[in-house]
Amino acid sequence: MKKEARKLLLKLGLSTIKQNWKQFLAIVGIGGLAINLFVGLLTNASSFEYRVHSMHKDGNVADVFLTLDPRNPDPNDLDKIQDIAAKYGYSEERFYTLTGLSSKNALCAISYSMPSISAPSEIIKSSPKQTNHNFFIIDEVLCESNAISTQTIDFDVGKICDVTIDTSYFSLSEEELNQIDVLLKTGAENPFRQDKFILNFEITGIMKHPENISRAAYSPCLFMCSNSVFRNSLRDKLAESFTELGLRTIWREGFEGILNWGDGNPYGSTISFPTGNQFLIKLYDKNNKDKLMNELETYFSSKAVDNHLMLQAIDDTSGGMEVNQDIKQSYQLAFAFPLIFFLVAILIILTTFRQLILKDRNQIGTLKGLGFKNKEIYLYYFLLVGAITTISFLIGAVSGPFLIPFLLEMKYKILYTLPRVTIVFPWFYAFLTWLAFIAISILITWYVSRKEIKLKPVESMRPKEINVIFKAKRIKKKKTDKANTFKLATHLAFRNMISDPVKSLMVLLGMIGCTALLCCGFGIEDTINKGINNDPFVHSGANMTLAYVYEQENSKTDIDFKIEDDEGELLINGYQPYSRVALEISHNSSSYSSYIQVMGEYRAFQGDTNIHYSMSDLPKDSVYLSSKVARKLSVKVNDTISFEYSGQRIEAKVSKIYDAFYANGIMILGESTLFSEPITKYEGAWLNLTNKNNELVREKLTDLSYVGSAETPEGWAKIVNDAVSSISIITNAVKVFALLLATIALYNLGLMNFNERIREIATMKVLGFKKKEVSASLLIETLTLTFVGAAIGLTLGMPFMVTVLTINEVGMVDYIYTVTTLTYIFSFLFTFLVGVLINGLLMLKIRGIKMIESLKSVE
Amino acid sequence: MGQEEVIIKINNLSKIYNEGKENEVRALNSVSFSLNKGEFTVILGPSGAGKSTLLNILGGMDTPSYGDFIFEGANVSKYNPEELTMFRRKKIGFVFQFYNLIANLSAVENVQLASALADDPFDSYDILEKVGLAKRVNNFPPQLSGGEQQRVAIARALVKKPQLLLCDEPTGALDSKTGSTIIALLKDISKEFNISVVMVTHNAKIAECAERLIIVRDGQIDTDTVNKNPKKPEEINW
Ligand SMILES: Nc1ncnc2c1ncn2[C@@H]1O[C@H](COP(=O)(O)OP(=O)(O)OP(=O)(O)O)[C@@H](O)[C@H]1O
Ligand SMILES: [Mg+2]
Repeated sequence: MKKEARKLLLKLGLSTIKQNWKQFLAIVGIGGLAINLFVGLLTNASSFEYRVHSMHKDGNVADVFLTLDPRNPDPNDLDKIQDIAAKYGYSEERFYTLTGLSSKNALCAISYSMPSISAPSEIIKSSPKQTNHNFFIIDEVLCESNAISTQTIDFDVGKICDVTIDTSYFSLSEEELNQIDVLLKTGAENPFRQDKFILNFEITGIMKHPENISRAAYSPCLFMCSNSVFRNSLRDKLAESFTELGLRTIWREGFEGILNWGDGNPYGSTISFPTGNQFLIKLYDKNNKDKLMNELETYFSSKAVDNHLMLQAIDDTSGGMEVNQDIKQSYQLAFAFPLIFFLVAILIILTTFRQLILKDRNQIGTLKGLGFKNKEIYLYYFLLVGAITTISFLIGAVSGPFLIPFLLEMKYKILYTLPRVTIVFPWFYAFLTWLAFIAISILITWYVSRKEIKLKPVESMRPKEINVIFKAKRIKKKKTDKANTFKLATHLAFRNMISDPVKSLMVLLGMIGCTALLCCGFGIEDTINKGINNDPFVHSGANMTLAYVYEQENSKTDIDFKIEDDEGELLINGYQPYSRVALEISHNSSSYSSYIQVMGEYRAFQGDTNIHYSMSDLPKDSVYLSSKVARKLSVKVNDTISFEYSGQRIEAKVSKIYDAFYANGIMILGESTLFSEPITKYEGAWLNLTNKNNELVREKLTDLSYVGSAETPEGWAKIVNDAVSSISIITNAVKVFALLLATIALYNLGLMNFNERIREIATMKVLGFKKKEVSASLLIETLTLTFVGAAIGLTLGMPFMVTVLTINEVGMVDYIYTVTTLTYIFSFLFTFLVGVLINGLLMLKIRGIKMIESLKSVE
Repeated sequence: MGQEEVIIKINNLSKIYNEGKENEVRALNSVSFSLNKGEFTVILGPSGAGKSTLLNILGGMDTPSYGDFIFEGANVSKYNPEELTMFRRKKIGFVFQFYNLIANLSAVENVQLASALADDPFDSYDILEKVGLAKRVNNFPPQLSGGEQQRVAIARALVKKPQLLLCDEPTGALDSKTGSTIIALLKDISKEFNISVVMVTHNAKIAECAERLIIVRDGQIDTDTVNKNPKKPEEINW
């Protein structure tokens, strides 16, 4: 091509863009949006993954966790386990158990010195006192007031906190206890005879820890304590009860003291008490994980007493699983929504360029007449579409990574404790996306232009022959010929729809998409609301739900709840205790992590004695199972499941499968015959209030040391809602996109329709049609398409919602998919309204059509 | 023929585009004439003379800058857009050079589209029969030849029983043989229904069959003659 020729084409391209800027803008806009979402979500996924991995790397998190029973140590384990671990990597030990940190459940990890495996990934704050052997570091999440707890604990470096630890780890026999009793100060009680110790610690640091990425309320956070700090605190504690001599007797550094904790160092490692009961194993080669775990499994099963509690890879821990699932989801998310927008962008490119080329027929003919080759004309159009898609790609690819990860950080902030957002731009995917986008656009352009470009110059300079789809009917002369404008407008509208099926289909798709997305967005809210409102636990029927603090959970007496007002009148009629505990449910060979809900018997202080909160029909000899778990384990009614609860292995028949949103897992009565003895320890209670002064009740209850939280049903609903907060963000996004989609698609196609009809409209104006009458056929056409599209969209709303919720599964809850009639009506009306509004806007343009100019030339 | 009835009076009509600007165009410059009912008038003139401009004003599609356009005693030049719409609807039939039929309506439906607007229209089928398209009423415009399409356009203009039929180069896109049959048809109609027809052309040969010939040049009336013996369209040859 000569230089002048190139210049000419460049000018032509620029004027084309100028003339059709609205449509090009629509392409750039919707394409940019699709790319923004796609690249943005991909960036988010890779950044999220990167952050999780960098936390794992910085903390050198263990690949495999082996936890032994601290009450049942075996001196032979250490060498054996270290031998096995050394084949594949290296290992470290620590004492690891669930404790209470002030009112919160917390996992305690005690080690001799700062560990090299599973260390903090970041020390956020520390006191100068903190050394390699002297530390008490808590996770930053523990410093935040948490939704479940009403007590605000001011944890900070230098502050003192309580740790409640089980005395059973000391394994003292009655005889040994008696021996110690004589060492007590006069009048002091033997602390070893109590269930728990409460030890005081000064916080030396605050950290992020790689085992602790998930901040879900049900997964307790970790604190790390050095052995010497722990021992000093224990010593201080014992000094309160024992005489100085007594303390020295107990506390003999040589470990031959009365306490058998001296022998509690069976591993001969530097850790004395508490016994290292957890092995952290780091692999040189991650692929050896299964081999290692198999060998460990084999070792323990060959022993007379299998004293191991748990053998888990990091990815199988509940927190690890959750994060991994979320990483997977975040990638999936990138492919779910943007796809729709890509389709729309492509539809719009298709329509715009088709129209452009029809308009350009003359120009194409002229160019060919001037001697341009077909190849060069193709190239011209390809460059035009390539430039537009590239602009839209650049806009999207630059804005997406800066927008989406920060938007979704709102979700991650709630769910995880992660390092700051780092943008990891997915270069490879972005490049592929750009290539795909350009390739598809060029293909489309080729498709719509090939016929016109192949024509002889003379042919393209003649007006285009319109395909006539309608067969001319035989003449049927009517007697009366009173034509009616409405009938004609309807005919015209339907013929227009049929004679340009591609365009009609596009409007349809736009409307289907909008309605389906709206339906999906509002349906998600319906589903969540239905879940919350019908959950047997959240809506137990009680006025208030209590959760006890860990260390006090089993020392409740009825009297404690007898809260009175100033006049001495009881404010509580009675209560029903319950527990909700995470456990593993098994059926056949598969198992699934869920919860058990244990329902106690109602205890009345006054009034009605026959009250059951939640599931009053639970039988004594079987359990109910939630549909989510039943689905995961393929359990049917009358099947038997097994689980472990308070030290008992239980096989239970499932007599009913129930729907639940939050209270998933097993429902069982505390006095169920399945338990060898009735359950007496509960984690919380449902209260039956007199409703005289509920706020006072709440205040008084939260003042009680053993009450962790007191929630009204509304408060509960909010907590559960928070658990699905990420979904809410998506829901709102879905709604916004639905409207964007409808607006852009309708406006663009409407505009195109309008531009194609200008001549027709001008003709009608010349004939003396009023504006209203002129718009009739256009209106009938778009409204029909909107109506049909919206109707089809409604049927897709539900499947769409199910897909979105499946991709965004939240482990804790189970969705009972619902779309209410109101949502259907609303989605339909809303789409229709957008259709009417945009058409109204286009109708205004009819006024602006100049008859003379529009009809002057051949098209 | 008795007393001739005046249907249109044009007084000092001017149309000035971009008035007062550098690119001012006086498309019509103080034109005055009147037309009688049932007359077959041809407006002749070179390209750019202002023929279309005049016709568009007569058809209520455009408004003059100055002067009056009196139609049956009413001053159309003072009409607002709504009144102009009703004027077009009730009084005017318009035929374009490029037919301007609606592609997705059949021949008869194109005609019905216009008849639907009129109070007392002709029967659409009758009028199509009249223009010689009885056999093609249910065909769509792209299935018709240019001449046939122009006949449909004439039928569409006529069906409303307009007082004034305006044709802007109706034969411009047709061959001479088809063109002369169209002109014959227009003349015929003018006589049969007593409709005034104003036809614009820049073809002097066609002008020979006019009863009244107005020649426009540079936005002004050059000559205005009455032709007592107009030629029959079949006789002319261009
Ligand atoms: N919208 C407009 N703006 C400015 N000038 C115009 C406009 N429309 C027409 N003109 C000018 O007015 C003059 C008369 O135009 P008109 O269309 O009436 O000519 P015509 O006699 O119909 O010519 P032709 O035989 O070529 O159709 C021309 O010089 C034209 O350039
Ligand atoms: Mg003209």
